[in-house]
Amino acid sequence: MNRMSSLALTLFAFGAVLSGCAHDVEVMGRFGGPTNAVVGPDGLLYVSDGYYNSRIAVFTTDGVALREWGTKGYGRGQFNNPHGFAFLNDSTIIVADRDNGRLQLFSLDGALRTVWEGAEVGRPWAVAVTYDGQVVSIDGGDQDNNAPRGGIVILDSDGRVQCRFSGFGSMQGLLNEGHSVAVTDSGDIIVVDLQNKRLQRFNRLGPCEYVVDPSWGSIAEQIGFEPLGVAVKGSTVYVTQQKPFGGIFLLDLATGSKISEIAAGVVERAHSVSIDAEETLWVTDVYGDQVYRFSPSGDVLLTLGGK
Amino acid sequence: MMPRSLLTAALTTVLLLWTLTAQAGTDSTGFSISADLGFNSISSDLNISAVTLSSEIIASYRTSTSFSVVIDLGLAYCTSERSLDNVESSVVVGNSLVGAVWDVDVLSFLRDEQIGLSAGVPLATFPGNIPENRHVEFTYNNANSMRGWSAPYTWIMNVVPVIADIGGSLPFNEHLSADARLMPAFLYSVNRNPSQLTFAGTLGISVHLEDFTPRLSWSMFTTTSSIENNNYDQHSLCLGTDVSLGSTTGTLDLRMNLDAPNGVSVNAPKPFWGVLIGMRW
Repeated sequence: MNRMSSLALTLFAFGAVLSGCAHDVEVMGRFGGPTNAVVGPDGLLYVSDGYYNSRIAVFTTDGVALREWGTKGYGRGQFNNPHGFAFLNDSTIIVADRDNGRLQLFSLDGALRTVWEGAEVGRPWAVAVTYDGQVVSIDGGDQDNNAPRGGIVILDSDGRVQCRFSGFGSMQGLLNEGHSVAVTDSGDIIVVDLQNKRLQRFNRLGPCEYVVDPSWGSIAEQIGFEPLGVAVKGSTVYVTQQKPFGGIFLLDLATGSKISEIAAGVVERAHSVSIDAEETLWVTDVYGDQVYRFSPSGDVLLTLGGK
Repeated sequence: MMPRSLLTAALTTVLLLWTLTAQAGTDSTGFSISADLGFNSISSDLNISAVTLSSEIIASYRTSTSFSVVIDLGLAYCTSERSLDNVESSVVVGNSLVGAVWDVDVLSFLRDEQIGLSAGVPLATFPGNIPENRHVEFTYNNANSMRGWSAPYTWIMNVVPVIADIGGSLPFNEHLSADARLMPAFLYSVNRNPSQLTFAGTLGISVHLEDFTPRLSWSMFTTTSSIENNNYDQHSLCLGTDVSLGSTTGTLDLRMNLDAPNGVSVNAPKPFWGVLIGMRW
């Protein structure tokens, strides 16, 4: 083989490799490990996307792509695994920027407002907002055996840490990778305790006073599932499960008893669930790179994204 | 950021190795050393500026004409500043890789065939808590990305790497050769992430001129386990040259990551590049 033909062959190989590794996921409707989907106060669907992409994407509830913001990185306004989010009020979204170890606050059109971070905040895996504007952030830890960490952080609406409780462990009231969080209308906190494969409920006694409800620690085991995502609407708790293509469990908020299981066999890995004002469910499929909208009975109404 | 004793030990080792370079020779037995210094700068409109330096020193002691013991040490420094932030800085040591290399002659049409086996001391770990942990993570990731993840095991966090290393060169003629290096590894996890099999490989061409050897290569890194089913494979290109400097060889490389999370694709804003200057004695 002469020199020129060797060079041509090599360049052809490089071209083939480059075309093969080019990802087209910047197209707005293509997700890369979506982590959460919630209808915001403006009636639009916000999607945190995700493990592979690093953005917040906004759609109408009919699935029309409107806008997006965020790129992968360490800078302010960038993301490194936006793992969850919540709306602080009608104009502010709080994003749990997990691998950058911070909460980032944006206007609903994506303008960065501020960043909350530090040792007390830890590494936020999930975030929720109570009826009176307290921010509940879950420090899921660094997955570090030498310095395991976990906990629930309560911040005021200005980002000041009010208290931090729970911790790492498997005992009642402790967490081993708090993965998802929801708050009830009365401010109680329900956390998916990922590695302990259970739900934990912390009943609110005061603005920074919580007590663990021991009966909730065994609910998932009793029903026979391993929780992954959680949401609360009214008197119902919605829980997705780690099992591939597992359904969504509806539990009674008062007792924890199972009401029903819906949408079984549809979502490969239902990372999160939320419920909008129309009582429809939004579920992210972190494996299938999709966002589903389900009717209250579990029928698929809309699918966004896909491999 | 990291235990002071660890930093002292790393620096002492580096100084020792630099001292040994004075004795390095070209005999069939004895020390040979290669060292490089990599540089990357991020300065963008995305509210961050950062400078990362990383150095790798590979010391080899040839005990016979075909067998060498090798130690690979890494040290990286990163300083970054985000708007509204104080400056964050980290100094980190890479996993120290210790191994053996055999020169072999299995395929007659190849030259410089080598087979190696090494294992790493897991020094690339978290220092303790946020916010130090995340900046250390950023530093290790930058150190690896500026090198195109071409020989990534020095910089992968929280693992004990056990690495096989196979390399060789296919000469087309006196001036042109194709080069390949394959580095499958088992990464034994020392944190809560799963252990995994990984594969790093480099394919390239070299043009052998009198005093220069320009090179163009493609490197890739892939893992058997993903996080939530997402693909974190890395691809990079390297354009570089070796320069003959008498008894030593200088190297100059420009590396460019091509793939997420540090490359041109997905919604990463800019390609991640690195310039590496090295010497081999």
